[in-house]
Amino acid sequence: MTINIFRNKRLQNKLEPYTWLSPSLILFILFLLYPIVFSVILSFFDWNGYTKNIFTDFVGWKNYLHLINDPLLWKSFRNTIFLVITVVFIQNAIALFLSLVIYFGKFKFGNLIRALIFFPGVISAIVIGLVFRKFLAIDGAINQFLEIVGLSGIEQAWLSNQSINIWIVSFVLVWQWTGYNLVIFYAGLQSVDQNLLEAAFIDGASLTRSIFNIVIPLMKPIIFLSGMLNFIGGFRIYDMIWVMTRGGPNHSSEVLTTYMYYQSFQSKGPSDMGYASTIAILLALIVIIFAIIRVRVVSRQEN
Amino acid sequence: MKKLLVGLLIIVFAAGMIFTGASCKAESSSETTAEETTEAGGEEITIEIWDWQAGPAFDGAFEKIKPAYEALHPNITIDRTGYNLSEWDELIKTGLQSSELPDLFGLYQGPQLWDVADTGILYEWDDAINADPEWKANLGKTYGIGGTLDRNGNTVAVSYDIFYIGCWGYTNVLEEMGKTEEDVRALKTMDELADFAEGLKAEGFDEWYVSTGFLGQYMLRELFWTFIYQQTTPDDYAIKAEFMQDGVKWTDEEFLNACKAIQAMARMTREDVLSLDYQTDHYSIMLNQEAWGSLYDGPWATAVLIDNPDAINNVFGFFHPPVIEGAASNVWAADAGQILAMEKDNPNKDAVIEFMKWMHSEEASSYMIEQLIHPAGKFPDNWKSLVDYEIYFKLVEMFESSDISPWICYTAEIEAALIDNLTQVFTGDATPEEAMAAVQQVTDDYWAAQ
Repeated sequence: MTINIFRNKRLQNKLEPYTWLSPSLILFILFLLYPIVFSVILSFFDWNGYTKNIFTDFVGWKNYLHLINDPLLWKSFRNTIFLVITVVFIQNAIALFLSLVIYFGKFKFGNLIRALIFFPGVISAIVIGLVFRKFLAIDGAINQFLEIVGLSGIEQAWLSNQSINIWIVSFVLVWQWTGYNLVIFYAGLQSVDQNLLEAAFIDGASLTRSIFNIVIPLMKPIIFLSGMLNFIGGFRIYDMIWVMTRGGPNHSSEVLTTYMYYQSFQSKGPSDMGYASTIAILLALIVIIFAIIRVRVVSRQEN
Repeated sequence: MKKLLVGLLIIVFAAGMIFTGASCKAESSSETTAEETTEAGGEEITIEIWDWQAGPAFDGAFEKIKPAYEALHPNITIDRTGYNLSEWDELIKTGLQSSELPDLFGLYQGPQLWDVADTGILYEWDDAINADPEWKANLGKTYGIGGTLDRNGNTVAVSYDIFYIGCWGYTNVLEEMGKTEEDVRALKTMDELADFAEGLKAEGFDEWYVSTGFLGQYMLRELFWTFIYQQTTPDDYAIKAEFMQDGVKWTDEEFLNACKAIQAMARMTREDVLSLDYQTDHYSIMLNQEAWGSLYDGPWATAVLIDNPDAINNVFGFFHPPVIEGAASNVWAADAGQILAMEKDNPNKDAVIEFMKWMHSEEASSYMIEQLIHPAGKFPDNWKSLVDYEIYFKLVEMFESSDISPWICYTAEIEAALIDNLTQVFTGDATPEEAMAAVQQVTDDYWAAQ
């Protein structure tokens, strides 16, 4: 016996995929699409987050114009770009170097080394941020070490130094996520055709020459993918900044995500949910642009 | 078979959605029924309280407040949660939007109170207070204090406690550095205080700085207000600047002088205070006497000192040298400390009102006094026997004998701009003139847009 849920078999065949998709679709709509649409609409309104009547004070393009004229936004944007670029280049460079060393070095405990380098990536950013904050405190381990080695002249409250605190946060992020990139690169190295390398060695090419002329060109798609993932992820960093500096002092380490929080929810902040939504839209647009670039480049490579 | 499975899947999924929706409705219905039963039958009521006074003082006070009140009212359970101020905005906003606010919830004086009051959800306490002469008398001059009022002057929140700026020093730490309490009291201006601290720094003492309180950026504003009040009458001068009244501008000399006092503060501050978890660090600094004093602390913060006998027994209050020579030295910013509001349609309203009335009684006040809190209610006659710390007596006398004015702004954008610009003055990234001009610009733009 068969059961036809729908009298029209054609209709049933058409709807069947959506039936299977419906749980994910519902979650997507509820937790992604709806908030995005809500934020887009909210960006055209003024709302302090307290009133239940949210869409009453229509302000048109005011929030978007404010983006252009807001010096703190541009400060946050510059910090975000700085963070992203340093993380992308330095993190990937170190990860690539380490993956090459481990792959070609053929160490006895290569797997263990990889695991140890990867380990920070599985620790919560909150924990890492708190630990480093303690290290970097004026009476923390870093300053104590400097005193021991005779460098007490450069002791300072590291995260209070507005010139370098964003560098320090970048360093911590690189330390945390290098292992993640290393795993990607190592997998890429394993997919490199060994025959090409052997042929190069037979022809007298040195290891260094082989790496630069064969391995890295073959790994370009993976390097690009890793870079783009870091690039997109860099724009979303919030937890590490919040734990280590809260975007301060004086907004010196503010990034777009923390600035968005400052505008919307921070105690003693402007309580401007509409403007915070505008910042969120800006952030989303930046990420979408880079995501599209990534998809196009990848599909071109595949073709 | 495949079609059967598809059909079953659809049925199960749909049933799950229906069941979930029905159970939610059933839960809310049963809750409403339970509340009605509770009210009608006088059965168990839980008064849920959220405040932003997590810490030893209020936690300690409530360890006595809760059992005392519950003994008087066996059908009532007090359920208080103390949060941190840093998460408060987020908590209130999400609570409001999800209609999950407790019976009593803290609000921060100024923009938050006014913005929430504007939603129309808050209960106005004036009728209840005025209808009860004893309650009103217990509140005394704390009734009608600025931070509890909405923009129309209605009391939309009631205070647990009173908070005001005080500063103090440790005689034992000063003596180790070859200085005395008299040396500090002889200082005539904030600049002299800063010179004093820098002199200790030059001599190589680790305790040279005057920790400037739990220096969240917004605390700069509260000290700033004190510096204004030392110079100006009438004492709503800062409000006039905020609301562009009577030609008062942020660029006036009084504000610039106050900014210069902020600059002086920076010369007395340990460099890391601004960027880190300042509240915890500051209490640690105070408790361990890592500084020779404290430039900012209200009465309840002294409760931290109890854990260190050297701290609590050697502390003296010197309550600011004036911002400039000749300015008044006996005025400072003060207002309601933690204030609590209630929704006007709270089904437990009567029980909550009775609880807050009791919170202003001598009994509840005594539990707070034991924790070195300055209660908003009546001091019992024997209050001096409840604590044995000279610093607390001095703080209370100071409040009782002086003029007070609130430290608050009332508009979020202007407040945020003021705080940001005062921070820039403090960190040396802006001159007083630049900072105040920036605040004036924000003020002009804000009112132009209204």
